[in-house]
Amino acid sequence: MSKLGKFVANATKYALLIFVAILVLVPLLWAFSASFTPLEKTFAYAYPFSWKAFIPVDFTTEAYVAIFQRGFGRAILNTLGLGVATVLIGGFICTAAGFAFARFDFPGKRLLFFVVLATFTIPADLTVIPRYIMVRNWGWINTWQALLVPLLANSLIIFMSSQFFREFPQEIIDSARVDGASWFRVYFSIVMPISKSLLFSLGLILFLSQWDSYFWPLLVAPDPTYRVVQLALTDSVQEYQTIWNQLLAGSMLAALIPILLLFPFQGAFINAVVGAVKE
Amino acid sequence: MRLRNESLVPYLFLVPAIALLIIFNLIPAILTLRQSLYAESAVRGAEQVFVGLKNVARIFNDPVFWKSLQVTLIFSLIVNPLQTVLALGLALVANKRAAGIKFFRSIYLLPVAVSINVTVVVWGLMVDPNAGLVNGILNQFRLLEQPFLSSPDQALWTIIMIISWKGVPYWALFFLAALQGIYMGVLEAAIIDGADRWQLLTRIILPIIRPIISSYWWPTPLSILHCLCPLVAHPGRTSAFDQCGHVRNLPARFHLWRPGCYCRHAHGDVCDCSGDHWAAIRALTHVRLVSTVWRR
Repeated sequence: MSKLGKFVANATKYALLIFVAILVLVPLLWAFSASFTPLEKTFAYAYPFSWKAFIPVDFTTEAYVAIFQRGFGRAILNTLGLGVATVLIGGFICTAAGFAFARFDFPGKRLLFFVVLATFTIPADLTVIPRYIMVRNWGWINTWQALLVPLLANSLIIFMSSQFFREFPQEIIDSARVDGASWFRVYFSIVMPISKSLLFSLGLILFLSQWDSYFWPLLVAPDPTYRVVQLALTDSVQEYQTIWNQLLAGSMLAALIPILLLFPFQGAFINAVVGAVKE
Repeated sequence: MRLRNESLVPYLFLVPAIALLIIFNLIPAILTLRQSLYAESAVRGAEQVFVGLKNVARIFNDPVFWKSLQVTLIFSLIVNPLQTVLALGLALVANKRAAGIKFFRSIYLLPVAVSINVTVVVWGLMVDPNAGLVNGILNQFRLLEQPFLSSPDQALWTIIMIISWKGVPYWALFFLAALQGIYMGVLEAAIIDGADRWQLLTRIILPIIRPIISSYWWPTPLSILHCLCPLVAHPGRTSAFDQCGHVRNLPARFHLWRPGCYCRHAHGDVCDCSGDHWAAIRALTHVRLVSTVWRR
């Protein structure tokens, strides 16, 4: 290839990379900038459009101060706590099930696996009304367990982890078994530590399932004590007006925490997906 | 802990997860189907009257139901291929070898971490016809401003665009993972043998990632329909969607969560909509699932 040709090819490549990046970033940059802008100027640079839409020229943190005064910090802590509990407990029971499907043969395996796949296809919003009635009859309204327990078993996690464990080297398990380790010991001290990359990424999916939930907490835990992030966002939407810059400030905080979690584990995430999609 | 009976071990591993799935997913699904055969809702604690398929007959006579079912099907038929192609394109771009590619890749995957609520809030403001950034940019370049969500003709397309902003990177993540699994030597050998770009894509890359497309293609409509609910459930957006009655052009799920749906029909109807909807989706996924199960 000639020098010019190479230059053109390179320039096209970077132009493409940058163009796609802009498509992804524009909404986030505008929202970020507008969240640091006073309410009366939220849309000032969006329409008519100017470059100031992406840089908070009238910088103020009033929106952030206001939402934290209204208890957004509490909502973040609540959701973080629920998220961590979901990852620890849910991650354990789902990967244990995945391990059983991948490593054992037992009567009823096909039927039980069908239960997992079937629940994967049933949309959560179809079952939400009976689930709500059930939880209400148990007296679980406005409790932590109502927010936590129904999200623990996740069929996608079970499916992905069983795909992953299928590839797990048999010799390692065998030698541990010969040395007299129980199955639970094999699982805890050998399989789990080796599968770190899988656990990180499945943990991320589980965390997001809790972090993103909106409708379920709205139903089962309306009390402000149990407020979660996605619900706290809507506090800025009031009956007669919406406080746009506060809504955007909350949105940015709600987006920031999963992003901070995604970045360090991006490589691990891709590795786990590679493991799961190999059939 | 030593177990006397080895054959119990797999069940002990399975019990917590399977029990929770049955309690919180399977039983409510069965209850939903049962509920659709009754006239009154258990929510209000009223006495239940068995009406058989009367609810089904009623929604079958409701033109709104047919319209929303039709729109849902069109919606899935557009969104699925569109997101698959765009996600493949994005994965191919993110898989290029370039300086700083890791940085670009991180940017491309950002929407995966942004919740659908936040996506809807931000994009909803972006496409506001009077004050939104998108019309601001169109105006700047002397292009025609668009009504977006406030137009019956454009509402569906706007929603497809908003959902794809999050959906395309999500699927691209899976494709990217597969592309990174392709041994570079295979591609280099093909290039030495004189393969052009198109041949590389159709003869090598696509066959290798085909299993993923087929495994994830059917669940895709489900995940899309899942993420529709917050669009309407979100108080800030409900009013926008209800404007000028163009809700009729939105998929079935929108009707399920529209407050108006609860008011207009008895609760039994809502269960019914979902029951039918579920049946339709299940019919689609059934083939795929059965083949997955039998392959093991």
